[in-house]
Amino acid sequence: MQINWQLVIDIAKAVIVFFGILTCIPILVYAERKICAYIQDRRGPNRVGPLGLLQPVADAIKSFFKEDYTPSHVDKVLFTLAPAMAFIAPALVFAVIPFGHLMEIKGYKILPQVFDMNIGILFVLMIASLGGYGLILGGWSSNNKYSLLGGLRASAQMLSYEIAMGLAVISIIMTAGSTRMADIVGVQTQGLWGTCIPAWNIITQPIAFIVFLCTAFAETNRLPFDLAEGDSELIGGYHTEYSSMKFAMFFMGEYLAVLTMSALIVTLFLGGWYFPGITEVGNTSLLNGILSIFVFGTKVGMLVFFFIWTRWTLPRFRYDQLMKLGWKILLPLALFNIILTAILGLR
Amino acid sequence: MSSNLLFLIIYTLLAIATAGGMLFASYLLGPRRNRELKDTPYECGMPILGTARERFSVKFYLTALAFLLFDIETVFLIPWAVVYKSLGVTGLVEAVIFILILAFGLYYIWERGALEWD
Amino acid sequence: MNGFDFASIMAISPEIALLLTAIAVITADICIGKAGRKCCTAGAACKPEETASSTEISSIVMPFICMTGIAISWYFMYNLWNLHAVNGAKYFSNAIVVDKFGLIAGFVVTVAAFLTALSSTGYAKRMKIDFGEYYGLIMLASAGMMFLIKGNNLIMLFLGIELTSLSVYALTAISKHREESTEAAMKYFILGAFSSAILLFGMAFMYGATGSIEFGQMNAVPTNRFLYFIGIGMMLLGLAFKIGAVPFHMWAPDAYQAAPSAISSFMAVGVKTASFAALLRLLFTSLIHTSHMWYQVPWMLAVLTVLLGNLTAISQTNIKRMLAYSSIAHTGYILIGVTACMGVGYSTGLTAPMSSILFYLAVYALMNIGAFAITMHLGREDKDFDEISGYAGLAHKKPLLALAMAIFMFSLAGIPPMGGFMAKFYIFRSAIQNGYIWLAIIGIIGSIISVYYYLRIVVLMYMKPAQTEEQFESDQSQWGLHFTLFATAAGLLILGLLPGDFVQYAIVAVKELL
Repeated sequence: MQINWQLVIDIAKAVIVFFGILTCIPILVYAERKICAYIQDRRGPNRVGPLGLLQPVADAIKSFFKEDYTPSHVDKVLFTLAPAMAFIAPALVFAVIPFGHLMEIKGYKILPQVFDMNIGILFVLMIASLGGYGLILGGWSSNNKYSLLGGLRASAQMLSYEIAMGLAVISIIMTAGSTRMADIVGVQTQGLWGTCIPAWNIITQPIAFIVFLCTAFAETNRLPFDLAEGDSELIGGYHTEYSSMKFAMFFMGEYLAVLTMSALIVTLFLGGWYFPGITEVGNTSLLNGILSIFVFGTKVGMLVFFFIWTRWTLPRFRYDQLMKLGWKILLPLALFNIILTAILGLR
Repeated sequence: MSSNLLFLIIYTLLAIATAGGMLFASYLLGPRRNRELKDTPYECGMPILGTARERFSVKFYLTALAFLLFDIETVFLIPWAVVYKSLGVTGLVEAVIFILILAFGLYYIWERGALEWD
Repeated sequence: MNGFDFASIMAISPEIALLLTAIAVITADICIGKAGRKCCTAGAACKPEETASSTEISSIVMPFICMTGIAISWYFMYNLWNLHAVNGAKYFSNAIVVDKFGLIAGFVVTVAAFLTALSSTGYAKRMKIDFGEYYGLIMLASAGMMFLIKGNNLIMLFLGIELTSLSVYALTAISKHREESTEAAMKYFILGAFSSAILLFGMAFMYGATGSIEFGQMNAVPTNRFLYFIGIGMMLLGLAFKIGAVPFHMWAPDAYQAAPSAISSFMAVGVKTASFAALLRLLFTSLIHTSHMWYQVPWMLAVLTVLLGNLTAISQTNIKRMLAYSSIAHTGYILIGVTACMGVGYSTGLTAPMSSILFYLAVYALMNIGAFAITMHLGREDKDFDEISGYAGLAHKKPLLALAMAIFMFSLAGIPPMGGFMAKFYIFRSAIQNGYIWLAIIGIIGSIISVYYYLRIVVLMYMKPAQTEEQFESDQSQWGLHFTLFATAAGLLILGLLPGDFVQYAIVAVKELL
């Protein structure tokens, strides 16, 4: 029987990508705790394993062996579904992100992307907004006042920032003329004004970048936008009633969201896997492919660091400030940017 | 292209299976110690006041309504954004009229205080 | 004619005028009404005299913006009327059709909107209504009705219905402090949304069966008769709800009673005229070739609507509720006209019944607006004057008002020489001519029943003493209402005595549609 190696490669790729990003979660947890510690002039985890490297593993094991308690006052189905949603949605987003250049080995093509979808960016917007359901359902099904408030805040916040995010993405679609992720990266690999400066969207679309960055923080519920959680006022908000692995899954979802959001920002604004002089467009050798993946990983890592850095630097917004920023600043700014892009693009 | 959908499905199933597996594993591995007080909603240890199934601020509904409006705007703009270069000035004028009408809507809800939260 | 050219813009210029007016009203609301609202919401330092003056200004300025906008849209309609000697030019990929039928129906709708705005000058302030929302929604609803009338495919039909209905749902609940208003609006909204969904579903089936959504293109032989049948049934059901035909009339009495009177009349007149225009356009451009499948529906609806509307109206003690049932009955008379359109030899016989429907809608608009304006005129504080027994002795205190009311009641009952008589006469004549004598007889029986409850009010006004001394004192300046009452009463007399001209226009318009 003839084995379709291309198919095997592609299936293996899907599996590897999924477990790859799953592996990133403990790394992110460790990175967050270490970076936060150094920002606060502490040393952070340093007992479990060398340099505290096994701390995330210990955390995971602890989560598994804690009592998984479902209180009798909650809506059981939604209560269980909520953490699963919070975990699955950001993981799915990664499926359409191209994280490297096409490789060709002995005639077999390896495209570092699970699914090269022609409506990739719409898929991202769609799935990313599903992530909000996790928080909303968690907040509502807990039947607890803090959770309800947390869930409501989460829903209002995500709705408000989703609009600005969508509008910022529209101006990116306009520069690329396509909704396919590979095309959006492709546009950014060209030189700007005939020079060797790459036409990354952060240079050509600075307003969209700022808007998208703000909304990315809000959509991942990270400080300074973590009002849904609000430890000091809502006792954890939507996850007050959760324990054990369900509780942990909300955090895994959050770290996955940070990861995919960083990957998304890299893809949309920072040239994706491309870096002038290091990776070449059209070179399908194994070396070039691995280099491009490495470039992509470095960029994502820097952005993740930025996410963590911001979290431990800025205080939390007040709720009216949050809404004001979303509706009165980012939304008009994004609308203005679309018109500006259209006028400049047609000139 | 459509055979690519297979990989997305595999990927999705993996994600769902992992999530389900983690939930189930913690259900199996965790101990069971029932205490009566665990069954009450957590309110910082104070006696519980009323229920959580209460009416909440109408502001949230307003936000949801405004969201629907502007999200639909986004959806309508995406097809134009893909081909706006070939539509030229006519397309630009139409899109700008469309955006301005909605921008006016934003101005209206802004002035009417639907975006105030204090 | 698919592009974005000047002729296309001109084709929808009346609608654009109305929509821009809505925006102008809202802008005026933001600019003028701001000072007044700040005091109410923020609880900040509040100057009562400032609030009062800004309310005073906006209660005058906003209806004038509306009326100016409607006048501008009349000018554009007049242009279109002169421009389009040709039969029904189509624009925007055949989504919009401009013909004289649509222009006449649109004129009736905008007259209703104009009179509503005019009569609301003092009324909206007395009812403590938010002006910006009120006039803005009236303008949006009128624009929706115009699109409904002009729409030439199912999508425009649905968009028009939704723009109209959503505005009217909100208008029903416009007096937010009244509980019954909110309740009725909620009932209306839920039933209305349900019927819209059914209508939309029917459209989907229609598209599935005929492969087109364009009027006039759907008359291919249906490939799937079952789908086609379900599609027609659901669409007729949805439209029957909008015109308030029995058994889909349940929303009407509650909504008419609880809404402010100005809105009740606008709702009754505007929505009905626009929906009937759309129904006629749909039935007789697209579905007539399969009338053997659905010809029973209109007459059954007509009989039920005439009888139930009239019989239920007898027992009402609230005049707005009574007028609601009477409006259902009038829907029934118009449905008799629709049935007559499908009579023997419809290719030649169609002009008379359809022009009589247009005439009926115009007359109905005037008498209904007039009757509701009386309840506005006599009302005090935030209430309408809606108890029938309260009308006793009106003629002795306010003879002119009683005379106007008598004119409207006679006209509604169909007594010569009022417009209502001519309207019914044309409808029943066309029914008899097209072979529906028994339907005309049922209509006449219904009219005879209706004489009882209409004339009861006249009897009360002229032959009973007033209950208390000061019950007819009104506390507002009412010049807008006076003008409305005068215009509607005079219009009814003119249409009753000299109907020829309007009927000629209607005949021209209908010939163009067919």
